[in-house]
Amino acid sequence: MDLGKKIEATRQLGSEFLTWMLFRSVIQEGIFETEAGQVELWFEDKITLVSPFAGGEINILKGEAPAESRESLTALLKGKQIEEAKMSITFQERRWDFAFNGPKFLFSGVKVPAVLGDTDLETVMERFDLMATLEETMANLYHEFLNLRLDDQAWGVECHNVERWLRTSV
Amino acid sequence: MGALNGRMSPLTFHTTGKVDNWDKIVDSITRYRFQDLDPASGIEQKFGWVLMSDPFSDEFEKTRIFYGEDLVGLTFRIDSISVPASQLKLHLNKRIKELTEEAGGQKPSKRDTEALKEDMHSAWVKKMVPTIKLFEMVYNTTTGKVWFFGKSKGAVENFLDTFHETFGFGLLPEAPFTVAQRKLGTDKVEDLLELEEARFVAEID
Repeated sequence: MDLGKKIEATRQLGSEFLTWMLFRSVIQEGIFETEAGQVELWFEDKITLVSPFAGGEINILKGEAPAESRESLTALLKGKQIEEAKMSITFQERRWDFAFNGPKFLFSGVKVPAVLGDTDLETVMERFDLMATLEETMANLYHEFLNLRLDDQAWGVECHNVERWLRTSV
Repeated sequence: MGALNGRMSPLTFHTTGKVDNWDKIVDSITRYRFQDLDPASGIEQKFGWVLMSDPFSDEFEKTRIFYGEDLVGLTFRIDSISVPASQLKLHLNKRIKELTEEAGGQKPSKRDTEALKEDMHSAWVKKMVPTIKLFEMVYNTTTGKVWFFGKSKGAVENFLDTFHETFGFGLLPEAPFTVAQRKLGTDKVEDLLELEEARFVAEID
């Protein structure tokens, strides 16, 4: 299989990663442990859910904590998948706000922490250091997810816990 | 909104190679620099590199493209001429009406109409002012990460081709598989291809 096909065959992992992060962010009160240290992650004011079935119905939910709303959790119970969400991450006392598309592993509208540089050179260096830190932090979270995802037994337990959480929350 | 200010919405890529000789690459950037689009030439689009600090400059030097020790910043400039189709159609219809009257009520053939349309399009292209679009690119030469601040299909395709021609290696898009490849290694990542889609809910409501 060539790389292009491998990329397409595994895009759903991005949606699963988002669902897993939502579940963990709720039960762990936003706190995640990664190889680079503790990360605080919250879902913010917009979430996009897509039906994997033919037709691909899309729900875009906005407002206060829409990811944890009854509508959102009911959609997950009906098999819809999270495609994109607005999120915030706090790492080493700095906060990033952004939208994250799971299947594309794509960041958009990234608001990086305040940049202190005065010149273009300092600004570019600082902004891209912060952008790279965000991407690496999400990659570290994704690594935690992948380790679990590749462990059949642990993943089975995790899916059971996700379902229990969904059913008790709606 | 891009590399220098505002919220950031880049496409992220990883290089498939590394630069050994930056002097040669600076020459290559100069070779693939943006060159002015002359409307009189009839060419409708041109693209290439300009300095990130000045979209009208192609005086590339290491000191002007490097931001610190690791980052290379360039702008990919695309100038294009687009003829507004609806206005072209109005003028074409007017001309067809005139020709029909001149020919005693006989409409030009389909072939003649097509030729007329092409002639009018070419004449208009020569009169239009090109539209300038600028897309910043930042390349971390240590990690191999590249951020490109453009999302339209045409801009991305032209950028990927030009990057490959300029640097001599290509770019891989960020995706769940490529991120996993870096985190898990090239052997273990293959296990992801064997996974069935997750079912968080045993029986869908």
